Amino acid sequence: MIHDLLYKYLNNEASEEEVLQVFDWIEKSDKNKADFIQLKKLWVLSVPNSNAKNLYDWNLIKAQIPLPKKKFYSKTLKYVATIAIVFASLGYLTNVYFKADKKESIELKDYVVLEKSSGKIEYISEKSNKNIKDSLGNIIGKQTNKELVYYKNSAIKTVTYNTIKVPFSKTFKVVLSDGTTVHLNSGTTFTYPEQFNVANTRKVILKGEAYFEVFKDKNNPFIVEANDVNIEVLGTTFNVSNYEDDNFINCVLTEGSVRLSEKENQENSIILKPNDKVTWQKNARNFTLEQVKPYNYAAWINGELVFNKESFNNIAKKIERYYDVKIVNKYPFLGSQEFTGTIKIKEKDVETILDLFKLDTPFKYTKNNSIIEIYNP
Amino acid sequence: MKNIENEELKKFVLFKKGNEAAFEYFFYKFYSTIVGFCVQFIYDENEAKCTAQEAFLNLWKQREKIETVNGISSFLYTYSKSKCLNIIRHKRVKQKYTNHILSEKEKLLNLEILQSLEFDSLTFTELETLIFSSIDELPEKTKEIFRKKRFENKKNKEIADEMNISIKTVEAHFSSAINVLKKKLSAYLPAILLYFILN
Repeated sequence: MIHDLLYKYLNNEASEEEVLQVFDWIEKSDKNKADFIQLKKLWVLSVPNSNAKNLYDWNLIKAQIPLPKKKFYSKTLKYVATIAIVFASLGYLTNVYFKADKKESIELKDYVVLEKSSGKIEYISEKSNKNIKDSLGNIIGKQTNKELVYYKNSAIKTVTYNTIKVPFSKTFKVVLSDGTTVHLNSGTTFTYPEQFNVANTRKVILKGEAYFEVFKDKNNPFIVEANDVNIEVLGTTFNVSNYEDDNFINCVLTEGSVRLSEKENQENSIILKPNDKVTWQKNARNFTLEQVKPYNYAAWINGELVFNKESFNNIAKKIERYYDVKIVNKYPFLGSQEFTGTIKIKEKDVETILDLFKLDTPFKYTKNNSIIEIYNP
Repeated sequence: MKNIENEELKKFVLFKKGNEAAFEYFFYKFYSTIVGFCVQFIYDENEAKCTAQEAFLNLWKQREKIETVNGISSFLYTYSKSKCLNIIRHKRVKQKYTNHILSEKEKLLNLEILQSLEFDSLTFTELETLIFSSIDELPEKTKEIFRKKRFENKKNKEIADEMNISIKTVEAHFSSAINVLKKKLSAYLPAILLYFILN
């Protein structure tokens, strides 16, 4: 019955065979097609609002918008006049910046982006050195080439968040105001407080991959939020990988001790010792533990790609991020082949790397701009 | 009912002034709806969430240009529409089928549907209001079951287990939801959709 099929299809429950039947029906007459279009339009507009509070998603948004003005008003009276003026001009600045953002977004996509809590966006040039200021014009840090260092300023009590976005094919390093060093890998978004509020835990949000050297501070635990998983540490060195297009989140500990827990079920947790690698499977929602050589997972901060019995498909994902290319593998046999080795990324172009793999398992490929297609030999 | 509308208008005024709590209110009101909209075209929940979040960030940045309460959902849908179009055109939707021709057909049809969606027209607002209010007026439990079944692709058995009720109860709630919607929406829907809702 076609109506059951349409229902299944719109519910994303139909098998490929059934979808074929749906399209046969749609193509049978213009009337069918028009009806289907009308049906799908209603369908997509009638998604009822979920009762679940998307707190995490809201926090992501909140971290990227300016703080409400109220918090600033609580300061002493003598600042009020100055603050009012700053806010007046801030609105203007924000507008100007967004216009610039829209117009130049294509050319600027290769830059590291710093989003300030004020909504202001700065593009970071690797060749420049400059001071970073907060919304009141105070110098809060300094950028030197591929590194951004925040100064500690215990006079600032409010927590405002900044976000750094590292594009594919670039890496970046940030030293937070508490002295913690974070190496950011390609295609990573990292949200962190401009200043850590003394009274609170040190909390940051990671999407992508980063290597953390956390400054020891027993009284203020450091928490990395990686989607469904929280990583809580006291002072230690570890690597976290949390890419949207991977079906796992993993954490490898170099020294110290960290605790991972499921965000929505804190009791589902695991404590890591050095050389431990824990993997969170996004679908199964559980942790698995194995022993590894931590250097292999941190080698990227030195521009090296190390893999140990890893499938070509997994390695291809990493190559995509490092070289900002898209790899379409039409040779399944190659995809499942496992490789072990080290590649110095900065010294080689992507063609040289593919040629290396060809020595082991022959294949053909074409490269068209940033799209690489791989075929049977 | 009047009171609720007044409350919402107050929130809208605060939102325009840059009040975060008011923004949060509208975020929770529309977020999952916008994610659900995008999923139906790009078939990837993460990508859909990113798109919706971008839509809200831009809503916030351009809040001064929003004139009415309805303007909020128009803006969110319009933004998501153009973003989905972009994602489909740039082939960033993952391949669902082994049959490439089928994937291509689905892509073209989705493009056509997206392009034909108009969000600033009166019809849209009216229909949208009608659909939302109809669903909103369902009893809490019925609404929850309707949502789980239709938008989380859950089977009756799964819903029954989750909510600790019998399968029969789930079926009863679902069919009562369908009957209510059918009554409310019959003037607007083509015959095929009525048929489909009935089954």
